[in-house]
Amino acid sequence: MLKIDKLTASYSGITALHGVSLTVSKGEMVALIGANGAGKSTLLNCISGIVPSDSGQILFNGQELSGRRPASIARMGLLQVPEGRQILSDLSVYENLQLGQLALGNRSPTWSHEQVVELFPVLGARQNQRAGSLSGGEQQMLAIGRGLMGAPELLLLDEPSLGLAPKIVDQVFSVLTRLNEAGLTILLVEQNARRALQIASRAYVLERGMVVHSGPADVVAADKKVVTYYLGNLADAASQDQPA
Amino acid sequence: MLAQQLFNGLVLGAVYALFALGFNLVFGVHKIMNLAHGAIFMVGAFVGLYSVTLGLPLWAAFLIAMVFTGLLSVMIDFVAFRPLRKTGDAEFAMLIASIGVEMILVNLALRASDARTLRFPFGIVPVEPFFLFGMRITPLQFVIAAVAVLCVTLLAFYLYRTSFGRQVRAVSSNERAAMLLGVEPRMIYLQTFFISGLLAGLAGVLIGLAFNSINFSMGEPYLLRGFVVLILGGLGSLRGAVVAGLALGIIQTLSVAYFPTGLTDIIVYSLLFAVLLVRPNGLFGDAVSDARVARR
Repeated sequence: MLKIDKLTASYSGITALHGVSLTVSKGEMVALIGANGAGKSTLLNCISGIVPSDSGQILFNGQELSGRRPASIARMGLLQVPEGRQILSDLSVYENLQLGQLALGNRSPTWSHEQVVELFPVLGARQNQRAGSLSGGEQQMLAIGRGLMGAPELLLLDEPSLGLAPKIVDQVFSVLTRLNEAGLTILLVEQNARRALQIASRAYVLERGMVVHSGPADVVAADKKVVTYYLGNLADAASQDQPA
Repeated sequence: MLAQQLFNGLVLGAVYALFALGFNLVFGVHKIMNLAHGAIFMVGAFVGLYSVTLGLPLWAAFLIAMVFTGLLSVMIDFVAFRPLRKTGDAEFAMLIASIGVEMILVNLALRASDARTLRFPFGIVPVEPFFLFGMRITPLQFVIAAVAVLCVTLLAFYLYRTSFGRQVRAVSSNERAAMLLGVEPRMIYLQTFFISGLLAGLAGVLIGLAFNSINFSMGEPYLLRGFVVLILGGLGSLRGAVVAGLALGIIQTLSVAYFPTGLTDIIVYSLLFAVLLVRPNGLFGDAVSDARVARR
């Protein structure tokens, strides 16, 4: 569904991606892990058309994405839930969800407003509130719900656990698992590598703009280097789950 | 007498509000301080006058002036602001660019009018006043008040009740997030600049008619008043622009009526300072967000 081939890109003059290749097939949940500054967000923003690529290819369902504008990429069904939620804080919760439908273009919806509210009841209870007044976890749910309103074929999630309490992270990740089981294709970018590797089927490890490791999630999780650098030992596990 | 002065003030304030609404819309949504707004207002008055001189009816002159200034405003965005936007952090550069645009427009008008003050032909609007609740109301005052109410209502409907308006507010709130949702920012700039220019042109023709005096430098005092309204109402707040515009019109009219004329500016600016001492972000501004366009 998504095929990235030898992608290079720079961000404010510094080369952030050095020939990254990556694929996501229909129905998969793929995790992309790596330290802060490894180029994870740049990669997502390249896919979404926010950051231009220097060379290489990004194919979505066989169509080249480089050179397309962000709005047109969103309308193809490739939706990003950006880092830090980026909800439209001055608009109401309801309006945020309605804006999600803009990405539909000519495609038919896969999620109705009622279904999204069923998935995240809090969004129904607070639909007339200013979105900026929601808690961090509620904002993350709104950001995901808003993405679903646009009938995503592939959902890109950038650090959905960032700044959330462990209990809320559990909730968000269990929703992602359910969405994936229901057939939604997901590319999950996470610094919280342990959690990401638990729910993903495959994983890529990004380091200084290069893919240094990839494979089935459990194999990656068992890799010695990955354990040392990204997962820590068991004693550290608890602190890994703390909000950033 | 007081009621009469209040009404006159409201009418003048309505024009300030129309002028400031467009100024504040562009600032609130795009963070662009467009100092050419006064010049666009002046161009609107000229285009309205020329249309009438060509023999067109007044309503057509209004329409032509508004469409002309709307397109002019869009063109200014294309030529002066859009190239700077691509470079990223360009708020200050855009401010300077807008001063350049203002100079170009004012000098073009200076050449076109030979620096003369032009007037609408006599009798273009009926001057016979009618009386309502003991107040003397000219037909033009009535038109200004009606047009202002209509414009504010339409703008509010557009921003808060239509899908386009929701997209405008989305861009105002977070342009990048809006792009990721499928909003095409180029379309939003087109709309906001068109509406902003249209309101300036409308205000220009109304003022041209009200004072029957049109010249190349007529935009400057209104730009200054626009600033006062912007600061008084709160940066980016459309509600603030309307309330502060009306308040400014009333204060100015009352001080002209009851105090020596030379004191008008002193009174207006002293009151502005007083308000800013109590509410540093203006009547409807808050410290967290200066983009109140997005708020209900």
